[in-house]
Amino acid sequence: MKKFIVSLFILILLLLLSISVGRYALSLEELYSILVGNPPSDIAKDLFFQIRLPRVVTVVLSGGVLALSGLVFQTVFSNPLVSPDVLGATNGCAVGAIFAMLFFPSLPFFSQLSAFLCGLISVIASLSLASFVKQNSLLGLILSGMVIGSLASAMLMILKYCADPMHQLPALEYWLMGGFQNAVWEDVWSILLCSTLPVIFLYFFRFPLKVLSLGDERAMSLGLSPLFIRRSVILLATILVASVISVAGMVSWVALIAPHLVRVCGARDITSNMGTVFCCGGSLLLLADLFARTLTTAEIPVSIFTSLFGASLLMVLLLCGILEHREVNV
Amino acid sequence: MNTLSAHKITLNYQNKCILNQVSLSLHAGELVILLGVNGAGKSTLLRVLSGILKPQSGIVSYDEEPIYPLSPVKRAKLVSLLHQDTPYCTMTVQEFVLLGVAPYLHFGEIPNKTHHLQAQKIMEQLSLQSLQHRPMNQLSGGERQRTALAQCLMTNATFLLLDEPTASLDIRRQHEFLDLLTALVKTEEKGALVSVHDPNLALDYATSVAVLSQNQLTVVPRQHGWEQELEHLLHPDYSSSLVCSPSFRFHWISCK
Repeated sequence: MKKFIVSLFILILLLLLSISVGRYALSLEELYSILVGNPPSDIAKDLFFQIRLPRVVTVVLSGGVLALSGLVFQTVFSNPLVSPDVLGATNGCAVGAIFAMLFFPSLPFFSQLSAFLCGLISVIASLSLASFVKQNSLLGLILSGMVIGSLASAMLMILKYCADPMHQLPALEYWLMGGFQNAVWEDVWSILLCSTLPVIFLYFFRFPLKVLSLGDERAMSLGLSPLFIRRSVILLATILVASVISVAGMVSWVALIAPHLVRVCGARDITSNMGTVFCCGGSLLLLADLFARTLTTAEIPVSIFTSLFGASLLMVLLLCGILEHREVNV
Repeated sequence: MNTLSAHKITLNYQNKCILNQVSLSLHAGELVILLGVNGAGKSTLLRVLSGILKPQSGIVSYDEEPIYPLSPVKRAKLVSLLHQDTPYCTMTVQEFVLLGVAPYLHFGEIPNKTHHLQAQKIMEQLSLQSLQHRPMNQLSGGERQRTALAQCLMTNATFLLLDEPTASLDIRRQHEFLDLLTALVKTEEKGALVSVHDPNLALDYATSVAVLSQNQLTVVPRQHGWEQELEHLLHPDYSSSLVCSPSFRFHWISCK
């Protein structure tokens, strides 16, 4: 509980910072007067309600939801290195989203649906491919994730090749790098609509997940069905990834790093720290997004920062030997 | 009449016969000790009885009612299996014991105050209360074993199937563990099937002994002269190295 309050506090601080910092700075007093309904100017009010607020809310939701999906993947495979990126879910979702954007741009919620379906197909494909590797299941999982990931990138390239190089291709490329520069309230609603139910269900699954971390046989002798739990939880986590990717493009690393950060900060039992992990993911992405839009005059894709930050953090963790390698149950 | 029984269980694994027409009855209030050499199929038999492994033929039933059609949750409330490998994780003892209520929780529920009290009581019974906030991976083998038993007791199952629970214990703790189990079997009317390696432990504690040898199971109830019968049953696996002395203890005599 203490960890949750600290992480929530950090998240709120970063939120305030994110809202006030930018090309047009808003001071805390101005923020306050806007919130109480007495805006200093119409520009400030519009900026707050139409640009800054939807953006930071989208960023926080995306980061939190991605972090939760990473937590779920890591718990379900009893392995701290598994994430939607590793299993090819991210690439798969991107294929689905791009497909929808290219061929059915006007259908509502089709990009979410198509992202989810393609992500799910990728995850199922890499899991079934991994089941052929009997000796070292972790190696099998990572290798098959790589295979499926490359297959998905090949599909992505085909789709890009089909795109109109003058109009569609630059937009696609830019979108693929991930970013929140065009975030509007519709994005917030879309993420909320797609991820609220899965998050609630995942929260309900926290006790079975804890039992499952003891291994399949123990879970079975305690009356649970490991296969059912694993399948439903992977399904739910893939919906989460798809809901973010269809809005913000490929945002990598947050899913892997946020649960780790919480673990390094001393959370032994990660499944009872879902709130902390959500806040941590939100804060991370908020920080990355803050850098992305304020470091230079132009917008830098946010994935550059999450990748840089994630890779360096993982390197530090590896060098310090904090990553413990536990038994894997696939 | 609480009875868990296996009827003509046959199980092959990778074209190798592990259990051949094995039958066994375990009544509540009984402590049956299962003997057999490494690889004899003791763990397999226990897993079949707990319902997590399905044999090729034969049925496991509880009071004449087959247990495979039962839902996993109902089965878990009836039979609890203590696995051979001691769990190694970062959970605390208390958290680990509390996982035993899993069969009683509805979807989305977590252990409540009653469950915590129940866990407290069981931990006291097994003298674990001083360790309850220690992570599992900082415990000794024996402490982990007792924690695992506490989790089994949390399920409140009538039948306890314990797979080599004394393997990592010193001699004194082995006896303490089996004393505790004997008391539990008597006071709480549980039926326990325990696999061990030391035939002398069987002589000391068992109400009957089941010997698994060459894929067949023979049950010897405690009665006059059962030591000789056991010696005879263990003979194919240990030849004449294992001898029962006139004072009814098994001794190992080296062939050299």
